[in-house]
Amino acid sequence: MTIIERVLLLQSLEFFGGVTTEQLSFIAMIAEEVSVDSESVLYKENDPPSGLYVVISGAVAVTRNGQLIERVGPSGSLGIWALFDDQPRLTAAKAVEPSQLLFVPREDFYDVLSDHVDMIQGVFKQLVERVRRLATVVDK
Amino acid sequence: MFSYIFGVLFFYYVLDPIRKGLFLRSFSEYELPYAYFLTAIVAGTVATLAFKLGRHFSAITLLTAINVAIIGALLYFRWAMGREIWYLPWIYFCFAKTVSVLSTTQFWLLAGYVYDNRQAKRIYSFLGIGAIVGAIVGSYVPAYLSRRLSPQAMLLICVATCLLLIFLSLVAWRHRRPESSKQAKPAEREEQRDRLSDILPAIFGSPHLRLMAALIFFTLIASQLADWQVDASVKAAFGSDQTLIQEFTGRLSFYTNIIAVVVQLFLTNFLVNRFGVLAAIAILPAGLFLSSAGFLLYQTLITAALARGSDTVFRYSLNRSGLEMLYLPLSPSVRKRLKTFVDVFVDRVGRAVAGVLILLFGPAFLAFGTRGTATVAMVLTFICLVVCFKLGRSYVNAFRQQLARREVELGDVSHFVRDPAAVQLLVAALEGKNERRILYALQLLQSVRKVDFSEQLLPLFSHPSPHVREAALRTLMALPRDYSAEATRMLEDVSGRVRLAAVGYLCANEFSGSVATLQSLLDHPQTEIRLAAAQWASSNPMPDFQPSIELVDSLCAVQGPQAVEARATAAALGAYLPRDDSRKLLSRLLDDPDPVVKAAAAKAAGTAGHLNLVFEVASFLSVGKTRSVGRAGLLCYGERIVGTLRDLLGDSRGSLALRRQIPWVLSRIPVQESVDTLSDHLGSQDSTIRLRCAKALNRLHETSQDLKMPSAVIDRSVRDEIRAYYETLAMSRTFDSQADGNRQRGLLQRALHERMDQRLEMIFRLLGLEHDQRDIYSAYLALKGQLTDRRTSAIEFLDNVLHRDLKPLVLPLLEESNPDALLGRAKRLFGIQSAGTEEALKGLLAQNDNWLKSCALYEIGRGRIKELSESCRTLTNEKDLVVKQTATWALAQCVGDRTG
Repeated sequence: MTIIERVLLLQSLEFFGGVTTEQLSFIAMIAEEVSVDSESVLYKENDPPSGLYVVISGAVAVTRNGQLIERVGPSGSLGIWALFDDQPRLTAAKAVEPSQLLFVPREDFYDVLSDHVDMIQGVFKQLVERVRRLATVVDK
Repeated sequence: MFSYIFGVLFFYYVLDPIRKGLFLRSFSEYELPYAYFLTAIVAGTVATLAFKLGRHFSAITLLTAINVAIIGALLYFRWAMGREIWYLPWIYFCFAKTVSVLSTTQFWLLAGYVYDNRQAKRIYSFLGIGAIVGAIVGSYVPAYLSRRLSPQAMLLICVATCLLLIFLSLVAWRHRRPESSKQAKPAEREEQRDRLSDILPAIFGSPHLRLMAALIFFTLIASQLADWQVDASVKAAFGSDQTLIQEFTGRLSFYTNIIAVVVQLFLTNFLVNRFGVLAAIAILPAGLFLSSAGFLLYQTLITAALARGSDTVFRYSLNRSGLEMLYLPLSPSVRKRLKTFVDVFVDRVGRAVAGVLILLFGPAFLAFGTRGTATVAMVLTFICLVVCFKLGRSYVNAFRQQLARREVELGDVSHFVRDPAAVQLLVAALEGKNERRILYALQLLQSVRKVDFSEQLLPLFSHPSPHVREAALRTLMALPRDYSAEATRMLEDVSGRVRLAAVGYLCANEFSGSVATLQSLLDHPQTEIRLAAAQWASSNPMPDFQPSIELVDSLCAVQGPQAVEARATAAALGAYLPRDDSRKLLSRLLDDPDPVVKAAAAKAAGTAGHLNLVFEVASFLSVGKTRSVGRAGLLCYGERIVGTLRDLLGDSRGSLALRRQIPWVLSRIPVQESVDTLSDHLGSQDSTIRLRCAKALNRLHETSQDLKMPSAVIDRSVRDEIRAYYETLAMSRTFDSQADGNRQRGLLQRALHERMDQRLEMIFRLLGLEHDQRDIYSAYLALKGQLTDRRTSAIEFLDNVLHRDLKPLVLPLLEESNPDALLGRAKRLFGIQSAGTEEALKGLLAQNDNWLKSCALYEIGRGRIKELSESCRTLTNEKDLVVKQTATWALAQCVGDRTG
């Protein structure tokens, strides 16, 4: 995938809605492409957070205590909170078919943020939006 | 500053007796209340006007303008005094009173620019002496020279003094703190937010505040009555003889000022320390009560003067100290509100009530005359005494509550905690179990002097919390005896911070602290103690101490868990080594693998001013992990580094990552050269540098209003940005019109729209440099928002403030919602028009924006536009990774190689 193609993939994520396309190219540059076979474990519950995954092709099952929470397909993402939270992962993720993924490592993501501080505003905006939505759900 | 405040008070005390002489020569004492009313209106209006002008002009411009206006007025009065002008006594009365308020306010404003909080604590008492000496010398002129000098001659002396004040203010302004403008502004803004409707509930909701306000209010009325009684007695004694009136008023001020100095120097501290806040606040009303009683019994000039004298003597000595103490247990916000309430409301209403009372007892109404006012003064001061006793109790309660809530702002405590009851309360808190409360009490007790609370303090040296032990050691300095033995024992403490505090006491206490003590600790056989001593020496440079290279080398050689701390301390001490040794050491430590050591070395290089290490320090800016180290180090160099930063920013062959960080550093060095450097790069080819330069200029404009923003450069940049906005719009219209909803095509469109947003932000940032930045920012937010009303107001606002040449360029960008109509304007203004797809893509490939270039290449590859394959081929050799990669991919798409 070229960097531009990665940008196209990343811009489909709601989480990066407040980030400009040029800023997405900085994230695209640090992202790594990962190919996994079916049944490959991406991470287990209580693993240390390592970064964000975006599914390019294939599908990944996200589970908690063995229960399926979500099946993530192409253009979907998993482990977004791992970018911000250093607590162990709450869920596990396993490929359910041969899959190609884009992985954004947490440490490199922080380096990008520190090099391009203007991005922080866009990232925070979406983060706050998510928290607000969660609060609304809890209120209901 | 000493000479300045001396001049201000000298000038006022020369002017004031002329005011009384001139007025009482022409009018009866019962006309005085009208003059009070008039003065309140005029002084209030002028003060408000000065405050508003202060938001548009620098402090020094305003100060100079006020002094020039005063000189003009003085020359007018000098001319008018020989003539029969009926209103002259009235306007001079208002002038003299207003000038006193204005000059002292402007002086303290200037002092705020020159001194920081810590300097203020030390220097303000010294300035207070300047004020008192100025008052004494000033009152000497009318007191003893009235027969030799005419009022006109005295006014000429005031003109000369005012000219000297202008000169002194300009000299003082050159020594202002660089960060002073930044600190002054928020306070001004907060000031505006205080409305009486907000303040009143806060004041009347608290018994302590109610009592304070009542005390100040009643004392003020009684003082005003006492002042009037002197004027009435003077009129009765000297009739319309202006010289005698001036002479008497001058002598009264002269002697009362001398007595006030004696009371302040020899009595205030003793009474406050011995009897507490009650003595400090009750003496003024007690003095006024007794002197008013005397005046009631014997209506003579002497008894009237005693009443007025007791007011002058105690108001600016004991009473002021007492009131400051009453403010102490209040949180900063409440204290500010109360002070605003007193200045704005209590002062004006109090004077107005006094004026009404005088008129009421005058011949037109009750005709009781001075007996009536003396009786009222007695009643009021008696009430004040009752209030004082209640305040004595509520003060301790308020202190207790604030201590529990830890709301006393230490930085704002300008006086030592002196009230015995308050000190007892703090000392008792040391025996409690709540750690935070103990720490808080210790912090407050660090200001106490001449009170022995060692019995409660020393046991804290064995407290389980290292924070408490450290704070206890820092408080040791407040005790009146030498506790070096106890501090020496604490050198063995397991906590490094406690050891550091112990070293601090041993080296700096007034009994045995010396360079020799420091040296002996630096030679101590234990590494921990040597390290603590070195740390203390690095952050508290002593004039007679210079670290040796052997000491620094020994710190660098420390191994084990303290190695990093020791090397960082060695780096910090490096700033004070002989120049060559310092440079070599710091150059070595800048390469240290540990960021803590690097940071200390960078700061030390800046503090020592090693210009040959600048590039090493600056190179830290390029990498995120060491950026803060580079920033801190460069800022330690201060303004001497600006020229080097200019070279780094302008070096187009240098690292882009480093160049992009330079505006941040420049924005923290508020000198004109920083502004000029940043302005020169507003047209930089790199959009990040451009935007960061504008942001840095915005910051400098906000924090340092005296810096001159280059209008011509800013205007040109605004025009360039507008033109670029239209060019981007024209390109985006080309692709918008072909939009087919495909997400991939949308990438170029989205990138173009983002660029337009960035251009618009840049335009507003630049406009903010020429207008009120906050207003422009509010307008920008309103225009970005969805609310129609706010958008309309913002456009209306911009229509009013923008220069007429800019209006036709800027306003359509905001008003016009039809992009085609905007394009029509772009064609008329700049000859820009929408091009065909190929031409637009070619245009994008030809410009310097690498991201738009990459998006255009993607568009070419996606559409397989073979006609542009040569352009793609050329760009396959670009340095920029994204451009190069996308060009290679696009070329492959165009020539049919699907694997590319």
